[in-house]
This record gives sequence, C-alpha cells and structure tokens, in this order.
Amino acid sequence: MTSDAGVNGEERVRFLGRVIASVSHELKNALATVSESAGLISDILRDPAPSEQDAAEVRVCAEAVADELRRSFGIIGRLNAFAHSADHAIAEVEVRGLVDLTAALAGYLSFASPVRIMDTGDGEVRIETSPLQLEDLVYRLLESAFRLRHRGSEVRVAVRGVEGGAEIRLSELGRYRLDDLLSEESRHLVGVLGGHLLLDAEVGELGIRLPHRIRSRSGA
Amino acid sequence: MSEKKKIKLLFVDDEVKFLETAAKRLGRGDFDVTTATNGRDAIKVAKRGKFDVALLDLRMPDLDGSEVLKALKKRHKFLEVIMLTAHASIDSAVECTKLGAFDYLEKPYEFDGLVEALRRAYEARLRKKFQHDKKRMEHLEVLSMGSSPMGILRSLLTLDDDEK
Repeated sequence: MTSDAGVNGEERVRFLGRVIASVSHELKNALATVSESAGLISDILRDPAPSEQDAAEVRVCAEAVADELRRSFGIIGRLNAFAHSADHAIAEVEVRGLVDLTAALAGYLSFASPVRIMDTGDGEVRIETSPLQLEDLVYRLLESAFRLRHRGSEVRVAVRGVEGGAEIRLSELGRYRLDDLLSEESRHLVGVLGGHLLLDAEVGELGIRLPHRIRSRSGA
Repeated sequence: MSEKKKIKLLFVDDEVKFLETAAKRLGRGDFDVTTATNGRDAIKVAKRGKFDVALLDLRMPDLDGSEVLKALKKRHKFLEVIMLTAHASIDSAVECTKLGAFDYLEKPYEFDGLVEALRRAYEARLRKKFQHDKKRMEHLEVLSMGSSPMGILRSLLTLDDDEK
C-alpha cells in the first residue's frame, strides 16, 4: 500500500532492514577476521617455543586487526551518516554524496558488483528533497542493477546538474523493461520525489530526473 | 614414526584476510587446509584434490555458496560440507540443509565450536564411506561366487568411480 505522501511505514522499515542487514553482514565479516587474528596470536603465545615465523605471523595478525578496525569505523561512519538522513523529512542534499553513500551501503550486499561514481565535472549538485526516500530509490536501483546484470560487472552512476534539478544516470539499465527494473512501489517513489524516469535505450542508460525542490507534503 | 592423519579441509571464503588467518589457525591443529577465494576456484580445486570436509562461505560474489554446495555434493559423494555465513537466516539454513550441508555456522563463531563441527563432519564422512565400502564388499563377495574375473574387475572399477 502506498500513499501520495510517500512510501508507507512498512516499506520504510523494510528499506532500513535491508540496509541494516547488509551493514551487519559487513561488520560480522570484519569481526570474524579480528576474532581469528586474536585467536591466532593467542595460539602462538601459548607455544612454549615460538619460531621466527610465528613472530612474523603475530605482526601480520596485528596489522589485520588494525585494518579491520579501520574498515569497521568506516562502516559505522557511513551507517551514522545514513541514520542522519532521517533527521529532516525534507532537506538540501548533495546528490553525488548521497549516491556515493547509498552505493557504499548497497555494496555490502553479497551479490553486489562494483559501483563507480563517474566524475561528470559538474561539481556539487544540490537539490532539496527527501534524503531518506532518495536513498531508498537509489538503493532499489542498485539492487536491480546487481540482480539483472552479470555478477562482477561494474555499474557506472553519473550525477549531473540539469535545468530544473538533477539527473542520476545508471549505465546498462536502459536495455531492460521498466517492469523488470522497478517495482510499482519503486515507481511510486519516483513520483513522490517529484521525479520522472528516462529510459535511454540508445546509450543503454536509465535516468532519474529530480526537481530542484520537492513539493512539500506531510510525511514526505 | 607415524604422524596423526590430518583432516583434509577445503576452506572457501571471499574475505581473504579472514580466510588466511582462520586457515593458519586450523592448520596449526588437526587440519590440512587448502583455500579458495571464490566458488568457481573451489569447484576446480575440489576436482584436483581429495577432501574430507569443505567449509564454505554462503555468500560470495561469483557463485553463491549454495550453488557451490550443490556442485560439490553432486561430484563428491562422501564430502561433508559446512556452511559459514555472516548473514544467517532460517530460510538459508533450511535451504542448505536440504541441499545436503552437514552444518551451518554463523560468523563470528567460537573457534572451538568450529573445530568441533569440522570433526563431527569428518566422522560422518568416515561412517558414510565405511557403510558404502561394506556394502560394496558384500556385493563383490556375492559376485565373486559366480562372476567371471572380468565382471569382478568391472565392479572394482565402479568402486573407484564412487570414490571421486
């Protein structure tokens, strides 16, 4: 069920759930490495006569722990930035930064392909919109890209300032039918954001054009 | 001097640091570990070597662990497979069990628990193999009473095929 004010509560919770699941997957992987590294150090230290190779192993483990902690802090930082998306129903956002953050969060999905945010030379592209719902839409588009395309094939995303707003373009997705790309719910989300979709079959891109300022609605 | 036989383990995970560290830890104990960082390599490596147990990450970028599980179980009938995941769910645990996984563990895990699960998987493999060999021997005994030497040889070759 949807309303003109935006996607319903259940859908929002589902989106948050997907993000949290992918982030927790990534954190558990980092923690598993930390746990194994600490365990290996402990095993080595229990050895009454550790070899020179063991000493080198301890150094490798310590470096692995430091790397995984950095990775974990990065994940938590992104999660924190994402959490603040819900601070205001409508706010000014820098679209490339938002796409970058969402791509990083979606990148934790196990089947995710690499996402490259293209440098369009446009500088910052700012619009006034619903940050959480735009992240939801970008996340859904990336999920579709990962689902429809070959595993491992890169997804290129370009953000441009256009007359009247901003445009987000995803490579290769223009070859698919809209029904395969986006659910009815996702298409509704495009409407809620005051945007419209552009399927460019010639260059094989899917574009979403968003207005400079979303029409303010309760719950949006 | 006889050395205790190590359990031959195929360990597959796309988290390279985790894989290397956990493999070293297991290797210091009772395991002879071979690693692969993706599903396709795992299937290739399994074809080349003979493994007792496989420890398989469920979510990998090239092939899902469940697809690798299917391929391994199809080709290596005595191999026991333990699934490992940082993204545990009841649905995936049920699916893996249906596909023949011996156990399903969630990351991060207790190392002793992992070792225990691997040992149980190895014992299950030995039991399965023993039962199979026993049945074969009984079959060969029956055959040897009435078959030609060529018939017995053919049966022995079939036995070898089953070992793969």
